[in-house]
Amino acid sequence: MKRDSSADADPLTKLKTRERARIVRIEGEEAMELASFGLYTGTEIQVKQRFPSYIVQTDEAELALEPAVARKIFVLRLK
Amino acid sequence: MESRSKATVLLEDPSDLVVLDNPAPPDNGLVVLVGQANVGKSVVFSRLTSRYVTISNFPGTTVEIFRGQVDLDGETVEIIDTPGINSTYASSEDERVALRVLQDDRPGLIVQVADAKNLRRTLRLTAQLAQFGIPMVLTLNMMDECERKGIYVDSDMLSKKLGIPVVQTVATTGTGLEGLKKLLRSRQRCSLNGHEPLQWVEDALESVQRSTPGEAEKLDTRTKWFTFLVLFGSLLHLENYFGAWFGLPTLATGFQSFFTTQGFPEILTGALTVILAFLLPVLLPVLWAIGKDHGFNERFGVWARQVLPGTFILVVTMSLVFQLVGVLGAQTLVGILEEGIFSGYITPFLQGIIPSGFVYDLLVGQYGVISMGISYAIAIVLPVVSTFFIAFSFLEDSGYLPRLSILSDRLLRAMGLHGKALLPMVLGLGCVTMATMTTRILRSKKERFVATLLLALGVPCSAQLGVILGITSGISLKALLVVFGTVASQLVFVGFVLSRLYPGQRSSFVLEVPPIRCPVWKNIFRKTYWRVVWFLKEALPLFAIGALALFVLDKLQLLSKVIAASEPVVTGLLGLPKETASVFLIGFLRRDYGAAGLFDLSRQGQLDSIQIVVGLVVLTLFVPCIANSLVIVKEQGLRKALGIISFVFVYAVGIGGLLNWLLHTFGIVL
Ligand SMILES: Nc1nc2c(ncn2[C@@H]2O[C@H](COP(=O)(O)OP(=O)(O)OP(=O)(O)O)[C@@H](O)[C@H]2O)c(=O)[nH]1
Ligand SMILES: [Mg+2]
Repeated sequence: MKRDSSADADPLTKLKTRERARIVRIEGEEAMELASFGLYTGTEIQVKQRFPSYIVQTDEAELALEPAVARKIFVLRLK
Repeated sequence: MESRSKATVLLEDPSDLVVLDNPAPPDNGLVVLVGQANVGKSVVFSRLTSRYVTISNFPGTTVEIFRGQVDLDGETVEIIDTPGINSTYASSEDERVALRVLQDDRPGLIVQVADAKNLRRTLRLTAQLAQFGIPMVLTLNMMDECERKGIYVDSDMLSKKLGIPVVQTVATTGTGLEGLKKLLRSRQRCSLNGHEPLQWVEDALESVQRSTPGEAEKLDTRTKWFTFLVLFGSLLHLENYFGAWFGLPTLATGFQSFFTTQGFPEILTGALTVILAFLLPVLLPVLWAIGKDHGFNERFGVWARQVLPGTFILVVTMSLVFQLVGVLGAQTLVGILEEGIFSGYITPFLQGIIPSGFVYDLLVGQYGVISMGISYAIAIVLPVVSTFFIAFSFLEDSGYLPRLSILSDRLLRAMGLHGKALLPMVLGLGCVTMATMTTRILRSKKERFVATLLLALGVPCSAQLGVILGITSGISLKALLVVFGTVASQLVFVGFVLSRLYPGQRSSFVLEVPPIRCPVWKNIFRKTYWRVVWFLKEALPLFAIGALALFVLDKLQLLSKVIAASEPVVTGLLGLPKETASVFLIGFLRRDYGAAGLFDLSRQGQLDSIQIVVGLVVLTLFVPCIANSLVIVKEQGLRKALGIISFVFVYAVGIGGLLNWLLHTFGIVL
């Protein structure tokens, strides 16, 4: 398993509301779709809400994601 | 099919593949508006062409292509509006529709319309579109929102980097559109063609600067918010205010006796009506000021998508819609038009001047084209659909619906769908037929099938909804809850079972949430107007035909035979009077027609409360109308369509029979 720089990455679901993070890896077939919404490796995001759906902000866009998708997005927290 | 493109393709259907072959298409002068969903393509299109197309604040409004002409110094340029796309590979039916235009029509110019706030995403799409090798223009729309957020875009620099013209616009006000119009003849190819897009996107982003919004704005918001709270607080002491402030003690005692003699639900609706009637003129300007306030809109947008204030907001929204459609539309306006004008003047007048005989029966008899067909359409259905369209257009334009998608995502997932499917479902309340086409925004075949079936089965159209609200408000809140409870539980149940039986996967829920925007009244009225026109065009002839058909059947002595034949089901199983058969018969033509018929029967006092409830449930679950059936065939194919229709028929009757039996066996008083 190659986990180099993203070794201590957490799935997005581990983030608390308002926490900021940078995406290090997206797994699964949704990666393409998420990229076209602006979510790809390197983007900075902020979690705005966790229930009933995850709400993630990048740039000026808010995206609603179901938990199953949020689980496949791996991030590193930003201070 | 061989593709030289770098794009990965992961799709259901080989025809999804868009070949990015860098062709040099012959210039046919055609201009295509392309861009992500909800960026304002349709506003640009309708402004340039003066042609009306639906515009609303949720992604996936446009699901088919629209052609129009722009007049450019005496010459016409043909222009196309397309559904929103996220990238140049199609993952849903509406995206496929848009990409086919680029592939098949080989336009002379692509105008990429973009939300200037999200430049990163915009440029990724620009890079992908550039691979088509077709000349481009980039329109940075929503510059007003951009400026408010303190984002400035250097479009000269961007234009240099891209090698294509870049214009900044505010489509809703028309700012910058003249400039865009002049560029419709420009033919510059994007320099990105063939480049690795990502690094380039990052470079081009240099053209963006940000500044923090001023403090003054925040202060302003707080003041307005305060005013709002004070006003809402005052609603709770309505009665005292009337007494003390306006010196109207009689009114105050009037309220008092009203509140003490009525039951709880009546108090609620009564209070709401009073509040609305008296305070709307006061509230509106304040709500208006708040609506124009972007800080407030932002906060409202957050509340509406959270479970806690969100549910409350939903309840308030629903009761307001109820006030408008169920009370103002289905009771007040129907009362005026039906009793006041049609049964009061027109029909008696015509009955007076037409000698009895064939013509009399044809026009103003029991199944007369005027006394039944036209009067149902104009006096019963029209007021209901118009008020509904106003409410619905408002919701559409505000950006509230995507928030509702978020709240309902979990429930819909249990039904094999997800939050996005809420849009077709809510649209279905306006017209199931149009909504069935909107199922295109759903990704997988399974979701489209489930949504189509549920729409056909249980989503009442606005007229039905109005009739349900109108009739049951004459019985009791319990009756209303039984009707809605039965229909809603059947939707959930059938969705739940179907999602487990039907093969295939559902797609995952990823939805962009647009900002809350203050609806523009002009757009709401325009939309309502067009929808009403469309309703009249579509419905009036069918209403007339329906009456005519019943008239002919009646004259040929066939109607009584049909009624007799359906008696075991209608009377035996459903416990309804046998005349109801003719209601179901016209329900085939249009569901709202059937609803109007039931409304009429109940107002003549021919139905008891259980019969009304059973009748409403069966009619709501009943077969899709002709127009909807045709669209189902078009979207799903004949075989599946027949399956859906026959299932719905049997199921509706079955549930009606069950409900009838339950209500009687347990002696439930409604
Ligand atoms: N503030 C602001 N709002 C805009 C502007 N242009 C469009 N809108 C609003 O954005 C929303 C979406 O507009 P549409 O024209 O329906 O968007 P579309 O690109 O056709 O969307 P789809 O058909 O879903 O792909 C509407 O509520 C418009 O009123 C603009 O320049 N400024
Ligand atoms: Mg559109």
